[in-house]
Amino acid sequence: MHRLATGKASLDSSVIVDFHLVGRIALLEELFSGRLVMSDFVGQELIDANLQLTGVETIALSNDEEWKFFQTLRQDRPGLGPGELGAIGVARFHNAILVTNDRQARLAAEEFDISVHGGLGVLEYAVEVGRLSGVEAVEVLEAMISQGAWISEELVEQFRKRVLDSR
Amino acid sequence: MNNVIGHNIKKARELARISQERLAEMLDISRATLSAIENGHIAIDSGKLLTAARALGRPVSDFFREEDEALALLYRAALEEAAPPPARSAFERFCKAYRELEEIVGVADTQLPPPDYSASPGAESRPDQFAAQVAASERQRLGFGEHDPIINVFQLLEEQGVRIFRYPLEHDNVFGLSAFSLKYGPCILLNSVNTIERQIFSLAHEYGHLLMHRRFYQSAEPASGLEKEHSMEIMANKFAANFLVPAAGLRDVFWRDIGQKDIGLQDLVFLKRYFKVSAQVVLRRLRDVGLVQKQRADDLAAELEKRAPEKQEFVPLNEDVLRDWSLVSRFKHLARKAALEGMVSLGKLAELMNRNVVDAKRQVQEWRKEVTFA
Repeated sequence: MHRLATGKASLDSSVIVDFHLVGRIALLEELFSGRLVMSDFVGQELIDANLQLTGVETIALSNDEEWKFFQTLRQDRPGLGPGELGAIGVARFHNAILVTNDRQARLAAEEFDISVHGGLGVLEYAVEVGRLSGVEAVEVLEAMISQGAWISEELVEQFRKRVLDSR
Repeated sequence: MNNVIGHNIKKARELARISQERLAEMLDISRATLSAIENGHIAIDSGKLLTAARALGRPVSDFFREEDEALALLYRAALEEAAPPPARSAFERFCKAYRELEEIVGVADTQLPPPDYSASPGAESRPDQFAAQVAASERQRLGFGEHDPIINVFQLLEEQGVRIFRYPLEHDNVFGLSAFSLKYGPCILLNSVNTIERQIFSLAHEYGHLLMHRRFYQSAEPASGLEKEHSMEIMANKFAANFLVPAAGLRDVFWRDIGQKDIGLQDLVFLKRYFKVSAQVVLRRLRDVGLVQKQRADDLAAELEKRAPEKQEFVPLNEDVLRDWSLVSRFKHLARKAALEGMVSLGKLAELMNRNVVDAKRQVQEWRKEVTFA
């Protein structure tokens, strides 16, 4: 079973924007139906960009421990914005998988043993549950790359092999 | 942590001149709860913090800064408020973002701030002469000597560590604003609604203030206060005129290209393009330097007024200066480098550039294409 098949998923803007730019935001809503959680900092970023993701539970940081974690991470990784920090915080304190396409966010999450997946993982999961065919998943990925998603050629090639061979 | 956020909310609320009652109402909490938050006794939740950030016109990151007060951005007292709170807020946000980018990329504090002439003898007793001298020595220091025109004052001053922020202010009679801090260095806001000639002059004018009046940058907001403000304005104008149109350079061009025959409007066009200033500034300098008699200057001023109604420029300069500066803008370079080298996340880039995440993503894609297909 794919690791994204169970549990909550805390998304940050990077992955939502990548799916939005190829017109596939509904895929996220569908795949994680009832399991999507989002920091309200990410929610604000989406509002500012006029983006909407339905069926999401928005979560606020509220207690001292959460704020301390947020501030420590912010100081250690000044390249992260409130959205990514919030998404990592939500993943940590609400036991969710972090879904991000951001390298900085991924590194930070790994430091705290938070399970992380990116857009590639989401597409693989979509193939696994039969929501997309392997060919469709590759097409979506290529569209994302043409819209600015930054994924190494090596990872793309590995992804291509995995999803096309799984047919 | 509660202390830091609470203290920053209080500071921002006071600067925005919003009462505790009013902000509490906006946050849908009691005044006593807000007071407890501001004093660090209880934690605010992130949803309320976002509402507070919106109400106070600040990016949410501002509330996490554990910053020494001494490093805050300080203004010079002015006769009247020069720019409304939203413009100041955008300005401060830009200055902080600029510094943050420098720190992220690893190029913070790589240059000294421009010299501080504010304690020099002569500043008080002979202000006009002093301003002209500062302009001359600054030109010398920057390698322009007594003659050369400054082709791109935006680029030049940014190279000196000045953070330049262009922002459309509703009132075009507000030209610019400057601030200084040990951490952020010299910062200048220009009203982008004004003509390019006006922006160039305002930039030099504010730079003059930063050089000659630095010790007066002591106020957390540009509130009224100093009686001597008027003479400081005159000094800054004098500095700008001498800095942009040096007397020796003007004489050179005048005798070489215009000669002794009666000066006409076409000569003003030539000179304004040469020195990149307005026709009015050229005319004023020609009078100051004694190259044009008062009667002829008055006639030309009347001609200019007829041809270019108030607030319009006679034969406007094109905006090449801005375009060229944009290509080498240090802020843009740092943002591009940080984004393309993965030093900042999408959310952070959006925050630093004051854009939304989708626009920030598109910007990154454009930058990437530039590099890939160059």
